[in-house]
Amino acid sequence: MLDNYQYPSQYELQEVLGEICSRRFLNSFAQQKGIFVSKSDQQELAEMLSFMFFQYSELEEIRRAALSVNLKDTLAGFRVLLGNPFDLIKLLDEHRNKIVDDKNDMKMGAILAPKTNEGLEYYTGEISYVKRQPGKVQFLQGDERSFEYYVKRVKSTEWEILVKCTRPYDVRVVENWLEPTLRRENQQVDIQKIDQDQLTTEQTIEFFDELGSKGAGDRWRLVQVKKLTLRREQPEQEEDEVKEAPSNELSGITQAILEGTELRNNPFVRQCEKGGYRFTSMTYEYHHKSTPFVQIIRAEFKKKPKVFEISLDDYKKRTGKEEKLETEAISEASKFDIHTIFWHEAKLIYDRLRR
Amino acid sequence: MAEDQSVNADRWTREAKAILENLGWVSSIADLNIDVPGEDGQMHGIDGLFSYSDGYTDREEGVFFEAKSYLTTSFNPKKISDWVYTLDKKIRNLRNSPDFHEQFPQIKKTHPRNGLLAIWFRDAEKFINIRQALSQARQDAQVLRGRGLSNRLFVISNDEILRLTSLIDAINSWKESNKTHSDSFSFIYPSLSNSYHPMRTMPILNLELLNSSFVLARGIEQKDKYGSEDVLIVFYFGRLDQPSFKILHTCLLRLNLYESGKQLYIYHYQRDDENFRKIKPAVEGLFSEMQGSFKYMNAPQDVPAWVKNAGAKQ
Repeated sequence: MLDNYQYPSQYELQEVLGEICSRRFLNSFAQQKGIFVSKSDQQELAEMLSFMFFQYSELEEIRRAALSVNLKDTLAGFRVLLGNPFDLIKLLDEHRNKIVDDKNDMKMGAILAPKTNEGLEYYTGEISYVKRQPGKVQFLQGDERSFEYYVKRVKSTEWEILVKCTRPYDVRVVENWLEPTLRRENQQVDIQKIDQDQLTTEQTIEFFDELGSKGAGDRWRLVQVKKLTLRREQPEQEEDEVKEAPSNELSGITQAILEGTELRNNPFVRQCEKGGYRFTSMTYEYHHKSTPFVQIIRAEFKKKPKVFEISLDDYKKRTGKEEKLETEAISEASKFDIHTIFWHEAKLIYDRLRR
Repeated sequence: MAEDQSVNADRWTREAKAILENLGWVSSIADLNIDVPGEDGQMHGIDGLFSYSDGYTDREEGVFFEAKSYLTTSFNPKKISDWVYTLDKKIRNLRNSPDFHEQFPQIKKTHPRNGLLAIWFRDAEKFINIRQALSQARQDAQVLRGRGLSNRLFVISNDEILRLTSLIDAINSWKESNKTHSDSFSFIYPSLSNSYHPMRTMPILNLELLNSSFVLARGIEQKDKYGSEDVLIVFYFGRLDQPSFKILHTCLLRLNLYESGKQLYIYHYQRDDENFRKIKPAVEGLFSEMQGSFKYMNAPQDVPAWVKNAGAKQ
């Protein structure tokens, strides 16, 4: 809780609930209290709730939902293709310790050379910014964010930028600054990212299918699909319908991926496809082929903001005769390796599907 | 899951009516348990029709009331969604029905967009067993989406109902100790930043405040034989910890209700005696400029006798 945290005004409450929080959160929050408004838009429900009085724990719940606090970092990224050879590291270094965007107080930290003795090829940088909410809502101000990003030279006209996101929006901060900045350097800029809108429904299924079998690399084998989330657009509604595949369907989906039979032929997948659903995220469990380690990794196409991200949701070790799974600590460097291997595989699969 | 359609159901309907009337709602526009004609040409059964004058908007709100009386052992979470959906459809069919308006002309004077579903589990001591499932069922319930006239639907059960009876008891307790000015008691509807209405006070609790974590009120107390004073009363249902009281304090400041030297009573519903004792000095310090003092509200396990007596009457 911030020291200067005051009870929000009705305007702030209505703004936060109506414009910033997701509709899904708003419904859940209201319905927990036994409040339903049928055939309403988000603003109407928000207005109704703004006339109520909330205790501290409820305000914190609203505040956290609005700030989308995401304590687990994920990896997102993109490639930048340029018209002419260009030293991106030099550009980033020139902006060291400067505020490069007044709108969000975006500040570039120093860009550090790769630690070659650890075999890392990426330059590491840090960015901080302030996420401003519309209407200068005091209730949400003070949300200062910072994150690390990594830059690799693929070739003189191609650079890879990966972002260790504490929030999905972090990668968009880099993208939104980098593209116009490079254009001002008289560069032709093509930002290439993994974008679900560029894939058909069938291609999305194929994407997750291949990612399952190849995503973690040769040293890991897929054991099961732990979760599958699907989304369907609803033209009449403000938000898409989101659902999870029931657990009894996941074994069939896992089998299809393991056996290399097309996932689209799975009856549940076919039914979802017919119903207008698209795959939006899949969580995979991999076991290492020669050590007792287990990784649970999620690949997700987020909609708001539109970002593809990878997340190591859990890392475990099989122990004892019964091979009990126990959570295992993992270094940041190892986590980064896992994330980047997965992201690179995803990019390869995506590029192949788009050809 | 079988609702006891006979004695228990009717009793609960009368009991709920007594609670709502104590909060200033008016049920005189229709008898209880009636069938009314809808726009679809069908008859729709409703347990009651209420109206109240809203302190924020100064307009009459019409409320379609449904009472359910069950045992926890026969609770089926899936029913919540069905009931909410059915109540919504019912209101949709009735609120603009010419036949309905003809039969109940008073409804025209109200904004008949509200539904209140009051579910009472008679084996109240066992409610704890289903509390979590009920909360989940409310979250999972679906309502009609899309465009069109919206209805506001409220689902209350044992926790909310007992809070309301405790609120009424606390109000009556204050009135009892202020007989000279007992009629001065009223709920405060502050002027809020995003709306264009003045502050109002009235002895009627609207649906928004009925579901709030605290309710503000005022009254007049006899100070001594020479004069009386205006007092601020907070009925607080939230947690008893320092951040919660700090937030309450800033709320009173923001609403310009925190006046130096004025008497403030904070009636609190939660107990947590041990922890509250530890923080009480600090919390009292927060409200010291206003002569703040804390009082307990009842924390009943069952509806009080006056509710049961109302239910017993035919």
